[in-house]
Amino acid sequence: MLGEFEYLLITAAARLGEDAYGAAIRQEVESATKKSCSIGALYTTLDRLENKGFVKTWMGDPTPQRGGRPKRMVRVTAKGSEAASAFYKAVVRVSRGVSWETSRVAVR
Amino acid sequence: MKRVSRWMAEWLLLALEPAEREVVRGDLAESGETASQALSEVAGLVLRRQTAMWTDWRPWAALIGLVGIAAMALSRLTFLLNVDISEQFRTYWPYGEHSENGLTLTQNVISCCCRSLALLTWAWTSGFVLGSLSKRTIWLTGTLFYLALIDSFWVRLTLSGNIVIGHVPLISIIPYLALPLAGAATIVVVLCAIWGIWQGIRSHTLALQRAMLLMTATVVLTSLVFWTDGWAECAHEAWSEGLWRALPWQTRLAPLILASWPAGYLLASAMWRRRARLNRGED
Repeated sequence: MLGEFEYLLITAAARLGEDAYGAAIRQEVESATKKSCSIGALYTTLDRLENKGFVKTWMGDPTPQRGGRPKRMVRVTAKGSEAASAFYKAVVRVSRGVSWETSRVAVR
Repeated sequence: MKRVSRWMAEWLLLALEPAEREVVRGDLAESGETASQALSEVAGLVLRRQTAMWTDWRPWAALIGLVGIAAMALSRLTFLLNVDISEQFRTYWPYGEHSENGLTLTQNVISCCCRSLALLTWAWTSGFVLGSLSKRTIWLTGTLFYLALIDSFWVRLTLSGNIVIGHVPLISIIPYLALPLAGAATIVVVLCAIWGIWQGIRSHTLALQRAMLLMTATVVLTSLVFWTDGWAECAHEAWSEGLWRALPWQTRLAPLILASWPAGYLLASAMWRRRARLNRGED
């Protein structure tokens, strides 16, 4: 089972697709959660996800806006997609009927 | 302030792997973090990485086995050799006679040579094992090993009251604790240990033949040191007409064994690797 932050990273990486790399994922997580995401948390969690086989990372090409430094590119594996999907379904299931879920439906 | 933060962030980045260092530099440039934010981000990552390294058994083995055990034993043995050498020099230089300690000149020379050679072997081996076990935690284990090597016995004697520091404020001594001032033997032993650390980081392991050679040399030198130390013990007992009892052989042997264990570890790990290769059918 994924952790909450692991789920956020996998989802952000899946959303970014081909453009998923460290700084972009960080920005995506920050804009979704409205909270800061530290580089330390990002890269240590990516390492953990890679060790579990949920993502694959590699060094990308350097770009001028990064001062000629390379990116750490990220791709979600099939195993990672399955784990994220299972986490999402569990969250949906466990949230059924709770006050914030019903009020969200009512607001809709 | 900005400059200091940037300089500190760059300095901290050195603790990361080169590839990750470049990625983080790029991320910081892209996100346009301020110098203090960059410093805090880098410090957070380095802290997490360093903490993660300590979840492995190797840095702990280095800390306990080498800093806590081998360096303490080496510190004691080096200190005693320094005392003997300086005593001989202080007598020989002005009077042209060797210091009367119950041993003949030949016995003194043999004893000093055996201890010097053994110390160099123990120091190099300890350094090698420290480097191979610690690698990226070497900045901490290496510093502690160095401090334990040059200071631990001296501090132990001071705390037990055997060395009395006169009317000097203790705080003024602290800078000297970082320097190997106890004597020539300390400097040579420290240099030998640093050489071992450097080689341990680079080559990580010893081939079986070299490990066996090192173990043989360690056993021979340890036996010689144990034997020649016995001369001094007997001489002191005879000189004091039995008032001073020679130390039991176990007490004399213990620090030598504690200083020798890294050679045993290198041999055991070389044999284990050899067996693993044979099992895989590589040899």
